[in-house]
Amino acid sequence: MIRKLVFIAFVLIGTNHVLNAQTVYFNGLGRALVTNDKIAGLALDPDTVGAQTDNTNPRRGTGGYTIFDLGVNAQPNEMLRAHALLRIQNEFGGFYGDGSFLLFRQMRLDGVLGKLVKYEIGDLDLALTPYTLYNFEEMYNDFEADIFAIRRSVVHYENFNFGNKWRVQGFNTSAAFQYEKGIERLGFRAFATRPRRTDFLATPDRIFMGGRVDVKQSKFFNVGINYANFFDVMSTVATEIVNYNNKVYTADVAGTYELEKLKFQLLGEAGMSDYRFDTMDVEVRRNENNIFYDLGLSGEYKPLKARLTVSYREVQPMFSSPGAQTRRINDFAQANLFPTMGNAPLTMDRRAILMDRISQEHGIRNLTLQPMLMPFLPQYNNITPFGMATPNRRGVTVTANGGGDEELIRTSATIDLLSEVQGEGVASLREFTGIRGGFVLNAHKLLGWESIIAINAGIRHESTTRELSPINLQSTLYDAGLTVEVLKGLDLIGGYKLLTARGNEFLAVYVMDGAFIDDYMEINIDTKEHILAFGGRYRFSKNSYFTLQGHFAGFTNNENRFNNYTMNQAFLNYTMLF
Amino acid sequence: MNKYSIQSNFKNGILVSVSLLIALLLVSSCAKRTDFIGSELVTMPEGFFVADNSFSASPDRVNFERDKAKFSAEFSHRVTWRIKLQGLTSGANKVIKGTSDKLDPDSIQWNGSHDGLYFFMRDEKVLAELTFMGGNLTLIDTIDVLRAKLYGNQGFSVSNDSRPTTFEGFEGASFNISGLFWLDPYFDGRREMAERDPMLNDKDKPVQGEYAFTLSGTDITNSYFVGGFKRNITAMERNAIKWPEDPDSVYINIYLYGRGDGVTKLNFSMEEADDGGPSHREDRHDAFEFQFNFEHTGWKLFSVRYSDLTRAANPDYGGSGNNVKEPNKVRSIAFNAISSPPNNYVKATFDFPIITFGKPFNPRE
Repeated sequence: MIRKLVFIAFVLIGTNHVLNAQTVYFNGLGRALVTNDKIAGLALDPDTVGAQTDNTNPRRGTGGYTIFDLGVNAQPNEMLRAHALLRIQNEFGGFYGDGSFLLFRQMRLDGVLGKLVKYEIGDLDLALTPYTLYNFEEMYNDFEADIFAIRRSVVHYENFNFGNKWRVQGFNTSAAFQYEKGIERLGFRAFATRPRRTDFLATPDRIFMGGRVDVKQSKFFNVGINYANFFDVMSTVATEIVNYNNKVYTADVAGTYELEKLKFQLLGEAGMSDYRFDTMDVEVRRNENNIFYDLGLSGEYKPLKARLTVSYREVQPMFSSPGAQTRRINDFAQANLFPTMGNAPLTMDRRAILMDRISQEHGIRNLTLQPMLMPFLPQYNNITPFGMATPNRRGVTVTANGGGDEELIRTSATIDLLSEVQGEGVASLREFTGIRGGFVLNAHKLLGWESIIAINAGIRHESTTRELSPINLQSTLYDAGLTVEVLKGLDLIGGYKLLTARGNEFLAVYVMDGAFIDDYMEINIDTKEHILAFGGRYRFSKNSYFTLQGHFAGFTNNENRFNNYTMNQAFLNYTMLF
Repeated sequence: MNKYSIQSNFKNGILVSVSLLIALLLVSSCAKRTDFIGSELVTMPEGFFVADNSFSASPDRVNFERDKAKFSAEFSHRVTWRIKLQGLTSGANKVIKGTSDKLDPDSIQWNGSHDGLYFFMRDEKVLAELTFMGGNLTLIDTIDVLRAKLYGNQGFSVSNDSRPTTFEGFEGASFNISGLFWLDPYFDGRREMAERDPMLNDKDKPVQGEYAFTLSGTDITNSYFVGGFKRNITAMERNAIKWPEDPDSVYINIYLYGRGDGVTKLNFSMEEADDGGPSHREDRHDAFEFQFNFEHTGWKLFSVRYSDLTRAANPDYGGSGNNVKEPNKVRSIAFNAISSPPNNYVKATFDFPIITFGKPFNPRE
């Protein structure tokens, strides 16, 4: 009710100031999305005598919605800007207002006080460093086809995945001071958010707060200090059973040395985590301090925009940083599309596969910072399942990249040669080898055409091995795509993704208390997941488009063909940003 | 800034960074560590076998009120094993795991406790599966539960029978409401209901045994209070179980079935006899209370420390004593359903209330 009143107030303010276009302005998004889906395969129609056909679950479906996000921004002066995003949504099949609903998607107040201190209150998007607060990509997709990027952009928008920031609720403030001698700039930043609300019974409030002080000595040297603290506020429940507190302190440096055609940079970050888990039961208490460091050197040849970076990092086994290690995706989530297969009592949940990971808007994405390491499936990312801050990793990473999106070619190649710092359950260490890279070739520049012809290809291969309690897991992700502008603004787009994984792993089951690793989940994989997609896109403008696509996806389990199925989807989407 | 100061700045930056790196390398290399982190993991080697393919749980029928199930097997190699116990009626589960070259019945035992929410039940069959890391070998045995484990060793179980080793929770052959329990006189059977409740289906089954308890009704008097019942602690029970004096070491634990309901509350009241006498006098002694809500969904265990209870506000109903929390003087325990806000229908379902001493209830022990 209060939110509705506030929104009405905003509209009234806007109406009163309608002649002053600088005080109130609108932005937003409109989208219409329709899918028509079909599932088939041995998982539903087994071909052996006596096996039961799935006659419980549907094989086809149609769904979609129209949404209109209206952002109202009222800025009466420099000190205050109020922003509210109202969503009107109509699910497919609920026309004429029936089935429509209204909700507030986000609200924020921000402004500048005294021309010095910036502040934000409400729904915020925050990030710090890859080891303190960072929303990392769960899987390599730097060179995926445009046709998949379109699907992914819808998912990112719905889940507030804007770059590598986390959507949180709280308060953020920053200030910067400029100097003429000694140092150029001194910056301060502080934030406080509440990822979890108390139930006043057994679940206390959980707070995440932190900040940064950075000093820019000159364009050649920067240093920063970061702090993040994730903790439960014990006084918000009647009885304090567990006292949890996780602090992270880091320092980062950046040194730059530039010549006419060359540029060298030294980049590094190091720090420690301080983890406290206190309970009545002494046996399960855990108090740990663990460190990390990450140091890299890069050289760039500016005329070609060619850059080579070599870095070494070590993250100790119990380094804990919830803001940096929380995953944005739940690998074990059930798919929304055709969520179950098989007749009772043998009904099985259909786990989200590659197709669902790039297209499922809700139910698979995690939007809340988690106090401990989340479970994951190794075929999607086994080297850095928790981002750069993945604990128990040490080794070298070499990256070479060149070009840019507006150049003839953009290319990148990265090699990870990493190992564990300490064995999990055995004295032997896992060894990780990762190779990833790809290119986008703007072929039209080669041909001298104005119409776009872009070819992209990418690959990510991971190898995990261990000698004792043997592990051998190989997974490869292939990406290919083509975009051809046949008429002005009209593109034919196509793409292919293939993920193969074979081998075994023993995944640790992490707990917050003293055991740290409570158990191991044995996984044997021999699977393939693929998506082949093609379609068209008409670009009305830079921010508006219509697309019609066909997606043909499949899951193959080479160890049990009765898990195999295919999914086909026709996808229509009109999106307009304003 | 000239070229030489640029170089000087960069050199200084390099020196600082390299020094930091060396320091960190030294620290990390000197850091004390064990061979590995987490529990030990030894996978089945080639040629592994279980002697005589034999895995046994004995006895076949166990009374967990006084006995334990013991497991035995001999392995060809040292390996990480797991025994998964699954109650075929209750759905309760327990995992026992370890790394060794055999299951020694003197040490690998199960006392009837459980992981997760649900308790094992009397007269149910439990499937015991022995598996090994890194292999597909599975051996199976079964155990019949004659009597389920009692948790009274952790404190005082608020059961519906005063005999020390009988039923816990709201089980038992019948629900005895005279002497031991009594229903609030305002609890009118026509419009409000108190019942031992087997609940509706597998998904909503009681967390322990066959019965949970439900208090439901409508606050038609607009007074917040709907109704409840009281469990008296008998002299025999007081003599058998000595309650601590320190309120910091006494915990009230109860499983509540939440329906996402913002209105239903359960008032849990510990009624003391401040004069040390045999019974609580509501107009002369203290009652210390806690109000649970049911905003969650499904079963959930809640634990509250006695020292975090608040004194009853009404001087005629538990607010007239010495205002000192004395758990060793508790004489009765009351459960009352409350409508907050008032004038609403409420339904409070709960199970297995237990007062523990020293720490919160731990069903895994």
